[in-house]
Amino acid sequence: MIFRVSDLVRFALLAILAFGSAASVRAEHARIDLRVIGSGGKEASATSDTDPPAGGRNTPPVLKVKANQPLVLQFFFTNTDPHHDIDQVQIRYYIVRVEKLGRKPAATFPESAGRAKDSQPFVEPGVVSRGQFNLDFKPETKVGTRLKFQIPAPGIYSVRVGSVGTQSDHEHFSAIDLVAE
Amino acid sequence: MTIRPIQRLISALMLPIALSSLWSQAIASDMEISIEVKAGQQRIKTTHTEIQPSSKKPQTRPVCTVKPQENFVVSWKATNVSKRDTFKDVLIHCVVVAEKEIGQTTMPPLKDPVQESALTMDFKPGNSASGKFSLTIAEPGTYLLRVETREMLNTHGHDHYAALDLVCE
Repeated sequence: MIFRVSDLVRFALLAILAFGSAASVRAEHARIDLRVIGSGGKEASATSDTDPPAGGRNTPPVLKVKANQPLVLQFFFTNTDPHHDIDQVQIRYYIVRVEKLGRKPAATFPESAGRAKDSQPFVEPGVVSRGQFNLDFKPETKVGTRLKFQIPAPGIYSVRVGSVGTQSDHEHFSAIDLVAE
Repeated sequence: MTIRPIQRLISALMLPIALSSLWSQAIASDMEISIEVKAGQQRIKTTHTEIQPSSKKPQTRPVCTVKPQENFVVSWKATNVSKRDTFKDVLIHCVVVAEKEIGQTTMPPLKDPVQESALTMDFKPGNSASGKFSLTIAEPGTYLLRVETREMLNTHGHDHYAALDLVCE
């Protein structure tokens, strides 16, 4: 199988989350490693960007893929702010269809609570996949995901992971564009 | 070497306290984990947090049926329900992975999971972490969806998990 995940990768996921890395603390508040892995080992990767400015400063790398072929999304998000504990941060990721390549603001999803929460679909048209984690941050807190997915139809898609609610004047994210043929 | 009376008193006090603490940890459900899956009109929830290692047989897992390539939504929540204890550096691990049969009691190999995620957090009393994600499964078969704590066995005596089965047909 093309996308067989080796034990090494899985153990790396858990080991990195469990024990952290020896990387030095940076001025940035987050370290992100986002990857989309396609057929034949083709992959694109992106690191941390900031919002604002809306859409960030870096042009997302582009990966050409085929519709209805297996792909893997993988990311690690590490809080590198050495000074603050922050309650209930949200780390969210998504794969959505978009109009154009390049820098673009984050997609918005209807926030719902209470009864509306049950009636609101989590995956709306144009959304291939999305997810979110709510947790308390302390220095070196980590979140990671590895997800199999397929692009259902040719087009341009944005893959993005980022933070929400860090009580800062900016959020961190990382993005990759997919061109599906 | 002579043990002073105060040291003897401390020793005498500490032993029962330590034993009491270990006993309460062994019997209390101090981390609660719940999972809910929404697939079409189905809404399947777990109702029980399992502890491992445990001499008890795990309860029967709920089963949710999904179709290949059908989007469904998984929500989970992990809460420290202890009134006193903070659990530091807990790893919450979530995995969706193929298994041989519904209700399989042995953990399937975590090779090539459909989805795997993890986060680390300090859980003060009452604190929660949660996750919600959409997922599709391409290959028909039976899958285990499990959310578990890791790294608590050494510090706390046991880990916790909740699980259900997904049948993709």
